[in-house]
Amino acid sequence: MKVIYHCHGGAHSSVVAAHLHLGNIPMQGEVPPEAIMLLPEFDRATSEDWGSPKLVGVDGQGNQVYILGLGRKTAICIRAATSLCLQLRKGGEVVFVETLSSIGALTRIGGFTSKVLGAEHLGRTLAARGIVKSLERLRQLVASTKKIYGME
Amino acid sequence: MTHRERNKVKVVYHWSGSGNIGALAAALHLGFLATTDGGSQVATEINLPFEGGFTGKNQGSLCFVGRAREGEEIYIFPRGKKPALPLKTLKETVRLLEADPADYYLVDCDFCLKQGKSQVLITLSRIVTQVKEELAD
Repeated sequence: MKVIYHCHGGAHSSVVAAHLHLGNIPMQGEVPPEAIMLLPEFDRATSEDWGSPKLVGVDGQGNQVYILGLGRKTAICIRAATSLCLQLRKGGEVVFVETLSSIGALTRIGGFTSKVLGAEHLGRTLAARGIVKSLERLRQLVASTKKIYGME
Repeated sequence: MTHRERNKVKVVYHWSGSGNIGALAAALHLGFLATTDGGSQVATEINLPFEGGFTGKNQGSLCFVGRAREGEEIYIFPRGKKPALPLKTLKETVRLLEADPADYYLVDCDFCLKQGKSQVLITLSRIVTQVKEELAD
């Protein structure tokens, strides 16, 4: 199965969700912002990358885990991708998981500061701190995804 | 292109989703409408599916509408006003699913709207004819 964690930019919440899924970030306990900032894909994707799923890794069960940014076209693009999966009779092979709703304002402000205003260091730091605050919600999202699709 | 090769081809007529231009192109391709100037009048008077276009909530849905006599599958894709990202996502999903992107023939129908209302059907007919000719080569 292919699991695609998607958000607005494909640089923050989806990255952390993917690494939670892969076990690179623990599902319990505290995680410092510095550990989030060390993730190779964190705050990296640009608008040029939107629309292209990026493989982050393969979990213990052989499921491929991807991240994807879709900008403001999330609804249309997800509908396009899912309807194509259905047309090709591969509806059971791909799971799209929306991560943006699991994060708060701080990560969004951080992302905007880094990607739109160009203040990368400040933006990354704010986004990472925001992620730490939202980590429990992201963990719940990943845990639910694994449970629903039998990937535990 | 042989009939077998053509069976793999998927022609996707895409447009903003407003109005029925994509459905019209698909109907022309499938031979439901006459493509001569004499047939233009008939085409505008019949009731096509998706006549009212696609609302925001339905945009992005790739719809299979039929298989042409020559073998290719015909789809319509109302992709919203800015096509770049939805089309890129579609192509990337094709790759992700290990299908061949070269089998997908994406045809922009909004191009016809620039020709003026009275010329839309004629221009659309020409585009469909061109697509068929390219597939036949």
